[in-house]
Amino acid sequence: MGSLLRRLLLALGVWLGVATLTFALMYLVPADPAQTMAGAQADPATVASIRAQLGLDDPLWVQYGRYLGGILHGDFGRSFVTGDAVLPTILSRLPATLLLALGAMVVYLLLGVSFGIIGGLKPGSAADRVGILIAVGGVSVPTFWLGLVLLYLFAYKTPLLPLGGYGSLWHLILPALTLGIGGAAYYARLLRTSLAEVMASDYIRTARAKGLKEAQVVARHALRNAALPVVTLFGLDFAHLLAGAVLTESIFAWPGIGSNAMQAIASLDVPMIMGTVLFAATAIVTVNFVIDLAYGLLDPRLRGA
Amino acid sequence: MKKPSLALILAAWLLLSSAVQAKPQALRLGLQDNPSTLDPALASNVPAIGVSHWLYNGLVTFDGSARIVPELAERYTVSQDGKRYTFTLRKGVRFHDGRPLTSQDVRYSLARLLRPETKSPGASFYRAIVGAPEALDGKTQEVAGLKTPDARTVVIALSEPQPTFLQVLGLNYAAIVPAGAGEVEGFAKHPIGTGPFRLKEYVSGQRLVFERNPHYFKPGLPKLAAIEVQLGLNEQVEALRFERGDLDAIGLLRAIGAADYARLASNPAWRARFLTKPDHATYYVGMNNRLKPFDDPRVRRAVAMAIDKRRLVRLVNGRGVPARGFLPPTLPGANPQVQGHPYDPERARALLAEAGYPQGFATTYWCSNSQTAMKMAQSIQYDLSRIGIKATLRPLAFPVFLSAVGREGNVPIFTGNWSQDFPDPANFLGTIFSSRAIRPVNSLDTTFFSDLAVDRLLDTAARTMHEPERFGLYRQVEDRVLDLAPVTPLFHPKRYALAQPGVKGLELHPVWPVDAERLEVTR
Repeated sequence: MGSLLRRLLLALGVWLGVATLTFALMYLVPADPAQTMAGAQADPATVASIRAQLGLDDPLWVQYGRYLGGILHGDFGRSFVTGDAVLPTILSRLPATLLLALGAMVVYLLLGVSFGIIGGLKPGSAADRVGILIAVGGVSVPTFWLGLVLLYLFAYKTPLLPLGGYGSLWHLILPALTLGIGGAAYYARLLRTSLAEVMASDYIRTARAKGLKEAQVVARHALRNAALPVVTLFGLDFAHLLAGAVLTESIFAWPGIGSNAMQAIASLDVPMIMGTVLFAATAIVTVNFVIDLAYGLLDPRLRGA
Repeated sequence: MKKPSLALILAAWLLLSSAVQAKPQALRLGLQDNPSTLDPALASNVPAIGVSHWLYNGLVTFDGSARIVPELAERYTVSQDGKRYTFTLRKGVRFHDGRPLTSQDVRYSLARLLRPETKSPGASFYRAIVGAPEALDGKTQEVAGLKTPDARTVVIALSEPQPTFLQVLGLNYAAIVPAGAGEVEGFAKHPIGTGPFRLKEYVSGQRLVFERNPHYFKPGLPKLAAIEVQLGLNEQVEALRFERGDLDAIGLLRAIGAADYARLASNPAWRARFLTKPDHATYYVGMNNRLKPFDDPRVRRAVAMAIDKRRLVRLVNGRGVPARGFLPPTLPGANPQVQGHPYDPERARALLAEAGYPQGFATTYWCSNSQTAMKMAQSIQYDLSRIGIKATLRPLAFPVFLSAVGREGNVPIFTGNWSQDFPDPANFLGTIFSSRAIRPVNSLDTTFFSDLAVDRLLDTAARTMHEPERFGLYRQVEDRVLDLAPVTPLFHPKRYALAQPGVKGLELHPVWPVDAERLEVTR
């Protein structure tokens, strides 16, 4: 119980740190929000009046208190550009981002785990070498290039799939592949190394000595242990993906949190940027906390740690 | 019974097919981001202004030659002293929700625009209305200079003559919304206007659909059934969708990307179909007149003579005209005889030596970090190096760059771009070369140029109602600005758009991004 409380406090501390840094963003950005809203031609009196409306004249600690109070009440402020409330805007984009994140995770699993197992079981084999080559390629290829090439080949030249957009599972295939291939390559390498190590350990030799079939050895003993670091990363990656895949969403006209963030950054919409960062931090801190708990349940040795 | 003849069948078929063809279609366009707003008082970028023009009308508007013509006003009169405008509204104009337009709506729309809580970026254009300064400062909600003697008459009183007042009334900021509409939460997403189209569907990040306004006051217009804007499309995907026939036109709500333009222009099927029109905009090199060594006009003239403007135009795929003056040549009032400084690097080196810099000097050149701005900056960096000026590039994200150049004593030399708010020399010269536009931060006069003679000419021009005389004064301003060279005009960009063969009636408008009233699409 003590450990749970400690972890919870730690998570809250991290979250508060991020919230404070996010607040500082407003003052670090070298552009005046009131002037941005009033327009280049506005006279100083109008800018001053807007500044007062936004509460930017109040002492810093008053603004900080108002900011934290707002967040606790679910009020992340309003966009400087559109005037829309920030949190509902982000939440309205969440389903699309969630779908894309799940799609990418499926690609991670299908490609990453398959190549990882092949390579881990027969390191140095021809299949392993091909796998490594693909993995290195997958990690190295820039997302925007891969996305555009896939679109050009499979949506424009050979119109098998939609040319960007959102609406059906067909729309999901190319963005999920674009986002998933890099991750899959990384997972393949991770699982390959982890599995190769496990396969060389004593208890695998013992399992084989007991007369277990190779498939049973791999499934029951090797994969379960080799998968532990992969599972941890899987959770963290999912949390990162919830923050929106900025480039992939922008290339494929995917109406998620990432493309919204891209628009906010381009127009220096500080409240929307702050809200997105805070939302992402909340997702990551929460998932981290849940993983910590789950890890303790999976591995009894970690419960008291 | 007699069998119908072949001619009769053919005639019936032709009639039927023409009826089918005449059925109004939707125009499909693409865009990356949601338009920032659907509220006309807030729309200040091309997509938002474009959309606003479909939804709303003003009292007056701009025709295809950028001249002011009545719109919601059936007619108007201007008093002898230029301080009193009387508008008579058209009969039978209705808002999208069916409510009739009255003078109260006009008074409300203009007063709302001036309130600080509206946060309209265009509010300061209307400062000459009696009572506007007090409204802008939040001291009053009522604007004394807006009167409505009856339901069809609006009288606007100005504190001083403003020759460009009708032009600013034609801008989207002064579009008419129903009285009280701005106070309704979410108006910017559920707009109501009198325009040719009304909002049907808005799915953030996906699509924006406008349908024909059945109450529209111009008989037989609009011709389109709807306009569908597909959102979230980056430049490349928009161009690919256009080529595949999924979009009807590109280059209207935003420029065609450089790589896509080059590809499309190399395709004979598309090359012949490009529509083009010079933009009322000017790219320039700005120099801070308060920072050494650019406080010396000889140094500024040397920079003006050092830059190869033709190469810059080639860098933007030829989509521009090298600038001789600051005013775009197609802008009403522009001087066709203007010469500016010639390209003459040798003379530039001599001028630098005369100013005390025979070996040149080192400086930092600021620009936005867009691909085009970077390419231009590199070309200018090369030109400057040829006369001994060693410039280090400082690229920044556009909003940060904009903020930096507006801060006093901060940026020595930079690439600037001025696009019209309205088509008049006042909006170019009067805005950025007046010493009144200088502020310590967010300065509009980003070169911090201050010249008594220019100020006097600008003040006189701003009060002169007689147009030829006024244009003559602006020519004098332009000549003096070019001589003192706070800026080096580089080129005036040209707009390029491309439409499918089924799109009829598309013309590039000098003010509005897409004038869709008379557009037709057949598929």
